[in-house]
Amino acid sequence: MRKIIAIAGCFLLLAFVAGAQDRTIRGRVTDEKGIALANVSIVVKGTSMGTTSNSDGTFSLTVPSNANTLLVSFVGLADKEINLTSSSEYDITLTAGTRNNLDEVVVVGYGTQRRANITSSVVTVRGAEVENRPYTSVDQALQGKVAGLQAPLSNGQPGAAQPIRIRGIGSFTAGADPLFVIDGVIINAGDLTSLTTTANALAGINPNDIETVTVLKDAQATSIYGSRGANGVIVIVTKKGKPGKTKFRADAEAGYNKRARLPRKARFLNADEYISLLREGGVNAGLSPAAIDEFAHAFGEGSGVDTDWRDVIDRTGTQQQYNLSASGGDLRNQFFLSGSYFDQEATVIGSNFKRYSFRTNYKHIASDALNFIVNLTGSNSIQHTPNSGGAFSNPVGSLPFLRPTQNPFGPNGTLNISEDPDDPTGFSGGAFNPLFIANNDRYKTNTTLIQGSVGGEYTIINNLRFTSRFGIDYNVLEELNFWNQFHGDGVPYVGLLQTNNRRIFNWISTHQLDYSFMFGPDEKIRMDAKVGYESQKSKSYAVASAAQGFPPTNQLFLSVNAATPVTASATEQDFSFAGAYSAVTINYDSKYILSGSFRRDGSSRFSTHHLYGNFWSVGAAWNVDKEDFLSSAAFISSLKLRGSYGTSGNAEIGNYLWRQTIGFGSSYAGQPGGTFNSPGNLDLTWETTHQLDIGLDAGFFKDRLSVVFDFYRRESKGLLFQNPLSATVGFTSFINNIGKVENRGYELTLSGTPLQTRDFSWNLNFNISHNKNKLKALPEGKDLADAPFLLRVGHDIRTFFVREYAGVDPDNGDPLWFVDGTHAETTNVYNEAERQLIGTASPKYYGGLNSTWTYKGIDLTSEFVYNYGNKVRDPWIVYAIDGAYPDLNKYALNLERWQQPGDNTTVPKYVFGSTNNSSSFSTRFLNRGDFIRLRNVTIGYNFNSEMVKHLHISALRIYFRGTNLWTKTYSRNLTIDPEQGINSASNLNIFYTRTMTAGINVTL
Amino acid sequence: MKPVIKIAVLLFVLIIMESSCRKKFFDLEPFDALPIESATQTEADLDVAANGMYASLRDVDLYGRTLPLKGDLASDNVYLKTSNSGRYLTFRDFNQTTANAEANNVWDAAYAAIKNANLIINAEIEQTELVDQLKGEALTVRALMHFELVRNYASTFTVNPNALGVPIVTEFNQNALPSRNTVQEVYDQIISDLKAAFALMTLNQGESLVVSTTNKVRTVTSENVSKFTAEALLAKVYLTMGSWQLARDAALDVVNNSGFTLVTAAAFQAYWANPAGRVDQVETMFEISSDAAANLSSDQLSFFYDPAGYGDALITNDLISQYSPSDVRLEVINTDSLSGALVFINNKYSNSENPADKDDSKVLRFADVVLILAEASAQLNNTAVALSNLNRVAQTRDPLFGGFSSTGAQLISDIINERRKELAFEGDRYWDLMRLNLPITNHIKNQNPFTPFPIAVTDIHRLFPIPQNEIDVNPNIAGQQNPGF
Repeated sequence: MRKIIAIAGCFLLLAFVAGAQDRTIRGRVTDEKGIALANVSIVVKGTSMGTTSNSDGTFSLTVPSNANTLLVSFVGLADKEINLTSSSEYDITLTAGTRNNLDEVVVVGYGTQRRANITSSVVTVRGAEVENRPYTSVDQALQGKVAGLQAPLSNGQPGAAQPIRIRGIGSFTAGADPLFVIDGVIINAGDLTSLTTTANALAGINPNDIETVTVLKDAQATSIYGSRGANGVIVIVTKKGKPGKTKFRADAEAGYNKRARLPRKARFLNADEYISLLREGGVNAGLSPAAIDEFAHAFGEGSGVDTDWRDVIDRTGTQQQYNLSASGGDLRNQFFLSGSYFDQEATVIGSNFKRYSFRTNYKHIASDALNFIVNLTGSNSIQHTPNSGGAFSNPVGSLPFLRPTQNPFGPNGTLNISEDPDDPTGFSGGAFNPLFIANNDRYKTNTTLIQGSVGGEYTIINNLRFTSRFGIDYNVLEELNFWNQFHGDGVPYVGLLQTNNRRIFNWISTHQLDYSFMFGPDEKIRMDAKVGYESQKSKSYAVASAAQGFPPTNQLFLSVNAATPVTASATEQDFSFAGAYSAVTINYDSKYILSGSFRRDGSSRFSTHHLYGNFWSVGAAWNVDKEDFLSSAAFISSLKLRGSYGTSGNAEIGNYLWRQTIGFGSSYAGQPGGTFNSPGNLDLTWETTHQLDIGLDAGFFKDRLSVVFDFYRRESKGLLFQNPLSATVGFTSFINNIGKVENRGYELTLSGTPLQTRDFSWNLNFNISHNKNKLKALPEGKDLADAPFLLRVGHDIRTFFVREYAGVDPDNGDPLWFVDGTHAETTNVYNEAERQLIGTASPKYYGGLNSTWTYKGIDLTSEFVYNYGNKVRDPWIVYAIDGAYPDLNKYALNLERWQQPGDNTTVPKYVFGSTNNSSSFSTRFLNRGDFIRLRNVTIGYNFNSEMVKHLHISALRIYFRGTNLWTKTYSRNLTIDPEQGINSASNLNIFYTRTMTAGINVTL
Repeated sequence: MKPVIKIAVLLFVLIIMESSCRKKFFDLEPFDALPIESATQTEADLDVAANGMYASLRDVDLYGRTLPLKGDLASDNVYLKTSNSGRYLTFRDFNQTTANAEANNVWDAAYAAIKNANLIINAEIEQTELVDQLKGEALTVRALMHFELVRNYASTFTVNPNALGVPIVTEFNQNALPSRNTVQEVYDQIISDLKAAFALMTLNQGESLVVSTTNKVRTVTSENVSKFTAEALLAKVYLTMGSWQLARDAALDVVNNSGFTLVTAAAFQAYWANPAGRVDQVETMFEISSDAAANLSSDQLSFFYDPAGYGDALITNDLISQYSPSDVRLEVINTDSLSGALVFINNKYSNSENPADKDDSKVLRFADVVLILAEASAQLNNTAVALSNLNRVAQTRDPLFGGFSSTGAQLISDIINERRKELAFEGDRYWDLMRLNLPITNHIKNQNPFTPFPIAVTDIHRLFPIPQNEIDVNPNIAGQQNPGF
C-alpha cells in the first residue's frame, strides 16, 4: 500500500515536470515604516538561488520562468513568501509578524507554508516571547500564550518536567503530552529520570536559541505525524544565520528568586498557638490534666523554641543567565553560533539548576542545486532536586511534618540532629531537620545532551527538491542520591548511595521530496506536494547501583568508599518507528484551498496484527477577503474560513506490551527462574483520535484587530486500559484498547493595536479556551477508581469522587458530611457518607492576556494567565489540620475552630488524637482553583540607534523583569497556590518563584 | 543526467530503503523476557521455568506469609498484639467480605502459580527422565495449589463433597470464564495429578540428573518437589478427605520407603535455625526457598513474628501450656516483655535480619506424615501402629516423655494435639479443625489469656468468599458465591 502511494505520488510529480527558461526580476524591500532594509535574503523557494538586498533595499535576481515563490527573510522580522506573477517588479514590506499576517511563513509538519494557504489550526510563538526568561525550558513559557494549550505551573524546582495538554486530556494510561520536534528531529521529551524526583529533557535546550515555537493543534496539522500526533505537536525551529554582515548579540540578566506569595491561609501556627491548641484538644478528647501536661511537655511546651519552618527552608536564590551569539554569512555560507550559561537557585534550600550550552547551526550552499545543513547543540545541566511529597527528607514537608517547637539548631549554632525521644525539640521519629539534610544529603541529576542533525537539500529540477536529514538526540543522565549516615534516611544503612546512569540514544532519518507547480487558466492553481519516508529508533540503557556503609563524613559519597555493595543491575529498552507520509495543498488564486495528508506508520510498539496504521486528514479554507463582494467592506482586511477533519494516533503505549513473554528475574534458590509474566495482546495498537476543527481567521482595520476562532471536537478511541480477566487464567488483566474519551471546545484569540500614535502604541493579545471532557467508554462500561477521581462514562476524566462536607455541628463541634447526594441527611461518621462526583481538576476556561505599551524607546509588557472552573486540593492537609496528628504543626486555619455550642464555623472542634476523619479528603478540602496571575512584567528601554552608533552598537536595550508578582485567587480557605499542574493537586513541591531580574541586550 | 533519471534513481533508493528493513526494524524484543514459545524448548528451559514456578509459590499471599499465618492466626495458636501493623485483622475477627484483600490475593496468586505449572506440564517436548521429573514436580505444585484453593474457598470434603469447589485449570486459556467444579471433582483432579506425578518422578531428595543441553547437575533439594513429596502430599489429601485407608497406605509407603527421618532432639534448634535447603532427607519434604537475593523483605513471614520487624503475632498461652518443660520445641519459642506482661514469640523463623540468607517456608515435613500414619491407623482401629507412630514424634521431641498409651477417641485427640504442637506456626492447625469439622476457638480482640470466641462450624467466615473481582468479571461464577456472602 505504502509503496503504491509513493510511486503514484512520484509519477504525478513527473507528469508535471516541464522545461524551464530564466527571467530576471527586480524589487525593493522595506520595513513597515518604509525604511529600506539592507542585507535581506531573497531566495527562490525550493532552490538555493538567491541574493541579498543592497543598502537601498533594492535587489535583482534571475529566476527560472516556472519559479513561483520568493522567500524573503531578515533577522528579527517575520519571513515572507511572495507569489511570483508575470510582473518583474516587486515591492516587499517585511513586518515584525502578527498572528494573522497572511503572507507570513508558518511552520507546519515537515515544512513551511504561507499562512494564507493553511487550512489547519496552528499557533506560532516567536523566539522573542520565550527568550531571556527565568524558565529553564521553553515549555514553561507557553502557558497563556497559545489558545488551547495548558502548561500550568506544577513544581518550583528549576528543571522540573512541565506537563502540557493540548485541547484537553485524550488518554488515560498512555502518554498525554504532545510530541516535540526540534529542527526536524523528533526528540525524547518529558521526564527521563528514574531515581531523582524530576527533570525535564527539554531543559537541555537553551530557549534563547529558539526562533519559533509552533503548536500544531488540529488533525490537519498533526496527522502527518501519524501514530504520534494525537496529543498535538510542538515544532521548535532554532535560529539560523542569514546572509549579511555578522551580527553579534550579548544578553546578560541577573536577579534573585523569592517565594511567590502564598495565599493568606497558608500560614502555620507558632509555638504558643500550637501548644494552646494542643491543650484545648486534650480537654476535648477527655484526657486527664496530668496526661495533657505530659503531652504538652512531650510536644515542646516550655522549650522556648518557636521555629517558623517556612523561614528555615526559604531563601533568596540568585538568578542569572548569559547568552552570546553570532550569526550571519554570505550567499554560500550561513551560520548561527551561540553559547550560554543559565543558573537558577530556587527559593528552597537544596534546590538549583545550572546549564552550559552551545549551538552551531550552519548551512553551506554548494551550488544552485545543492546545499548542506548542520544543526548541533550540546549542553550539560546539573540539577539538585530535594525529595517531594511525604518523604521525611522533603524540606517543604517540614511544614506539615514538624512542630514549631522543634529546633533546627543545637547548642553553639550547630545543627540539631538529636533523636532523643525525651527531647521535644529534637527529631525523634518523623521528619528530619531540613537544614541538616540540605547540607549533608545529595540529590543530583547531571544531564548531558547532544542533539542535532546533518542534512542536504538537492534541487533536482526547478520546484522539485529532495531533502535528506539524519538526526540524533543523545541524553546521558547521571542520577545520584546520597543519604548521610548521621541523620535522616541514611542512618539505618550507615550512609546509602543510589545511582542510576542512563543513556538514551535516539536517531531519526528523514527523506522527503517537495514539489510545487502552477497550472490551469492563468496558472492560478497552485499545488504543493510532498512525500517522505522517516525512520526512528531509540534505545535506552541504564545501570543502577546501590551501596551502603560509608565512612563517617559527608564528603565521600561514591560507592568506592562503601563497605557493602547492595545492588547493581542493568536494564535496556528500545523502540522503533517508521512511516511514509505525504501532503498536498491545492489553492486556486490563494482563494480556495484544499489540503490533504496521509501517513502510514509502523512501530515496534504495535503487535504484528496491527503493525501498520493509516492516518489521514483533509482540510479546506476559503480566503473570503479575496472575493470581490468583500472589497466594498473596507474595514475587513482579511477573512478566512477553514475546516479540517482527520485522524492521528497516540503511540505512547509502552514498549513490548503486546508480546506474550516469559520474563526473568524471579530467581529461586540461587538459580535463574522464568515465569510466564505477560499475557500480551496481539491486537494491541495505538490510540486513535478523530478530530474536527472549524475555524475563522479575520482581520479588521488593516489588521489592527485580528480574530482567530476555532471550534473542535476531538474523539479519542481505543484508549488503553487494563482489561480485567478471570483470575483463574493466571493473570488478572491484560492491556487492551477499550476506552473512549471526547474533548470538545472552542478557542478564541483576539489581538490588536487599540492605540497607535506616532510615539505611542498599545498592543494587546487575549486568548480564551474552553474545553469539555467526557468519557464515552470504559472496560465493560464499569466505573474505574482512580482516587481521588472516579472514571465514569459521561463524566470528565478528572472528576473528583469525594464525600461531601456539610460543615460543623454548632451544638457539639463535630464534623458533618452529607449521607448522600440528596443532602437530606448528615452524619458525623465519615464512612457513612457516600462519595459523590463533584468538581473536576480540569479548568473549564483558561487563557492569557498580554499587553505591550510602547512609548518612544520605552516599553512595558504585562503577561497575565488565568484559569477558571476547576478544583484544587492539598492531599497532605490531612496531617496539617484538626487533631488526628496532634504531634505535627497545624495551619492557622485551625484557629477558626468550633469552641463552644452555638459557634458557626467550618472548622470542627479540635480533638487530640481524633479518629473522626475530619481531616480526611472531602469537599472541605476542594477549593476553587480560579486565579488570575501576572506571570510576567517587563519594562525596557531601547536606546535610539543613533545614540549608540558611536559605540559601534547597532542596538542596545536594558530591562527589568518580574515574574509571578501578583496572583488573585477566589477561594477563602486556600492553603496552597491554586496553580497545581494537570491534576490540580499539590505535592509539597518546591515553592514557585517570584523572580526579579535586570538585563541588558547588546547587538553589534 | 536527465531529471527523469535522477528521480527514478531517488525513488528506487527510497523504496529499497523502506522495504529492506521494515519487518526486522519493528521486531524489537525486550531485554528481560523471551517470547513464550521459546520458554519450553529444551530441558534447560524447563529447569528455568520450574525455578520460576517455585518462585511464584513464594508470593506473600501463598507460602510467603498468608497461608502459613492463616493456619495459626485464624485458630488458637497465635494472636495479634494490641498495637499491630493492621494486617490480617480479618483472620482474627472472622468478618471478611467479598472485597477482602487476602481472599482476593490468595485466589489470584494460586491461579498464577497453576498457570506457571501448566506451562511445564503442557510443554511439548521430547520425553526424558529429567523432563518427566520436572513435569512430575509441576503436577505436584498444580495439585498443591488446587488443594489450597479448594480447602480455602469451598466446603470441607468431609462435610459435603458435592458442594461447589473451585474451577479446575489444567491449561492456559486467556478467554476462559470457568464455573466452579464440585469439591469431589477438584479432589479427583488433585489425586490424579499426584498419582501421575509420583509415577513420573524418579528422584528422591538429594538425587540428581544432568540437564542435557547445559550439563548442569540438577539436584532435587528440600526446596524442590521430590518423588516422595508427591506421595506425602497424597497422604495429606486423603487424610483431609477422611479416606483413612488410602491415607494410611500412602503415608506408610512414605514412612517405610522414602528414607526420610525425623530430626533428633539434639539437632532440633539447629534444624530450625538453618535457612538453607537440605539434601539429607532429614525432616523437610518440601519448603519454599528464600535467600539473600530473592526474598520478600519486610513481607516475609519471619518479619511478622520478629519483634524487630512487625512483631505483630504472639503465641497464645493456651498453646504454650500444651508443652512440657522438657519439650525441645520450646527451644524455638522466645519470651519477651510487652507492656509489663510476659509474651511468647515464635522463633522457628530466626533469619529475618540475617543478610546472608532468609528462612524458607516449610510446606511439608516428615513428622506430619508420621502423624498422618498414626491418625489414619487410629481411625482404622489399628491402635498399635497409631501409638507407635504418635510416640515416635512425641518422644523424639520430648526425650523425657514416657509415651502415650491412650485408645479410641482419646488417642485421636492426642494425635490432633500432637499435630498442633509439632506443626505450630506452619499453618496447619486451622485445617485440622476444619477437616474434623470442629468449632474453632479463636482469640478475640488481642486478649491473652482470652475470652473464648468460638467460631461455630456453621460460621460462613470459615470459608473465603469467592473474590468480588472474579464475580464481576466471570459471569459463570457470578451466581456461585459461597452461602452468606
